[in-house]
Amino acid sequence: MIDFEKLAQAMGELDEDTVVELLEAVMAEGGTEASKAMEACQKGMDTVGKLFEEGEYFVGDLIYAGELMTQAVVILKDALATGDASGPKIKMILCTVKDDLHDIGKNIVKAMLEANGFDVLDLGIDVPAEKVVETAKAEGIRIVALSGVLTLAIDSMKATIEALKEAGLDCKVIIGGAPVSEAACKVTGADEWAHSPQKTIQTCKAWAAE
Amino acid sequence: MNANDLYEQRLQRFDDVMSRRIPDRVPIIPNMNTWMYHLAGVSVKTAFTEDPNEIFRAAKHLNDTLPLDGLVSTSNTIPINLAKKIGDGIYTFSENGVQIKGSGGHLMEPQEYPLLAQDPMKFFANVLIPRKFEIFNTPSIEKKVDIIKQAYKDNLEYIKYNSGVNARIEKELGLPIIVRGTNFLAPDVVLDYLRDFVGISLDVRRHSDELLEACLSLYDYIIGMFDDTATPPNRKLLFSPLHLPTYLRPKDFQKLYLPFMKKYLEEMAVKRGYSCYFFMENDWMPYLDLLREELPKDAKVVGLFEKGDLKIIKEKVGKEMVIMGGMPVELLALGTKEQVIDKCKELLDTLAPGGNYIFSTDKSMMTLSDGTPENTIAACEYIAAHGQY
Repeated sequence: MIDFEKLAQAMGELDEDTVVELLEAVMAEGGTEASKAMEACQKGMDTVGKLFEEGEYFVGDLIYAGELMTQAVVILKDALATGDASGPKIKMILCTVKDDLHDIGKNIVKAMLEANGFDVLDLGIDVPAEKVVETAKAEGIRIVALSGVLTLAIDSMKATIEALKEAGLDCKVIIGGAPVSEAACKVTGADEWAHSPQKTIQTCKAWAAE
Repeated sequence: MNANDLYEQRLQRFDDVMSRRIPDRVPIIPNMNTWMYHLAGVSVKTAFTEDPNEIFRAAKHLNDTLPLDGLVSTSNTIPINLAKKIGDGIYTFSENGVQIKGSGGHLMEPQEYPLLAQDPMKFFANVLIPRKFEIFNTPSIEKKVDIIKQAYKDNLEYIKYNSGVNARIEKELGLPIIVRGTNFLAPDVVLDYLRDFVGISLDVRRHSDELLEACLSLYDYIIGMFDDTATPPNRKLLFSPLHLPTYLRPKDFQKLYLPFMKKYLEEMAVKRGYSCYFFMENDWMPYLDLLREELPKDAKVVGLFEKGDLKIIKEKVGKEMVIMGGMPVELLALGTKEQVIDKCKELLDTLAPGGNYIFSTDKSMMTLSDGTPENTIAACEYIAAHGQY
């Protein structure tokens, strides 16, 4: 019998050895409780998020948590393949906007979104507004996350959001990265903004649940 | 005032603050990066690669337009010809300046840390460079030597291109260019060039001792490369962009990064007498107590703080660092002139008393959308008029 409370706690404490040991035990017992194990890991991730908000954890810890979560999915994959209790994944767009070539923040957010069950269409860096619109149309996207590091990314974010509106697409858009702020959010017409991956994940989860 | 006297006055004002003396007024050194080229209507590409006179023209226009005490640099910081020829490919050039394309920094695996620790130069030369630059994957020693000779030549040309115009800016405009060199701290070399963000974040948890050992060797290697005879100490700055710290828990910062800040300042600022300039990326509020405990007191070092409450920062680490920054580029870009002036008043009220403060923008200004000319001029003029001691 696996102690799922202990698993959730180990995930929250980012105790890799214990997490791996318990997940392997789940698989050794036939994997019938893989979904429960996944739930425990998600619960641990919620603790990670809470500790980040409280200033206990930092971005490096979120990256590490994302890696642990990816590892958990790999271990449980065979048992989760059929009858995944979490239901169909929500598809969303993520990219770094036009004229900005940075991708580190975007990649961190991507890993964390995937760890939280999103199907992320990563359009890459220096992505023009038209590409976002095209993809959103073709894939029926409702959630778009735009990343940027340079201050000039704000202009491209604004252009992308305007293009989405002009195309009549009803998408929720979150902007993220060093230059964004409440004021930038207003200027660009975005629905939300975030400096931390944690806030991005929470916002996208809330939108997905709408 | 002639250009020579103006140069002296400006640099002295700056050096007074760095030496913990009270200057005649708060120095104004905004982080004007490629903004000044756009202000002057000068093409960044032309200025950086074709005609150094265009760099001069942009600096002159800026100098004629608003009061300031120095340029951080002219922003032409990458020898683009050299980078192109050896096939790096991560530097991209546009009218907004030079950008490093994406996360090109994953070059080695954590299992290789002991090799890096053992002999950084050997590991770079024999393993990392051929791995990163395909052009070196040739058995011919002569060919490799030719590549290095050409790279050396390209670098000299780049230095010549810039040193000529830099000297003109200082001599003819009396405008000091305050950064004279850049040293990376060892953990940032690992982050930016060897393991990338995800890699180093995992290493902090899984391989922290190996990471630390490798950084200690790398630190010695970096300091060993710095040539005092070619760059003797003067009133200008050695720059280090501090990249990794604020992504770490303070506990990890204390073990893996702070020792390098301390060693570096003790060696370069205290022992050798250099003035040092740290770009304090992101929010340093959770780390201030550690800085206060560990860093040398009254050394010549200035920190440009991107975020956080500068008043608290000055109270907590004002003995350890001169404080630079305070004006959000966002306000210069989106605020009204009145809001900008109010912010200037607040900065003078809270940060200027007792000296130890340099007025600057919190981030680099790249294009005119990072600060309207009207707001930016108003800010600098207000500080010049009201920042007297």
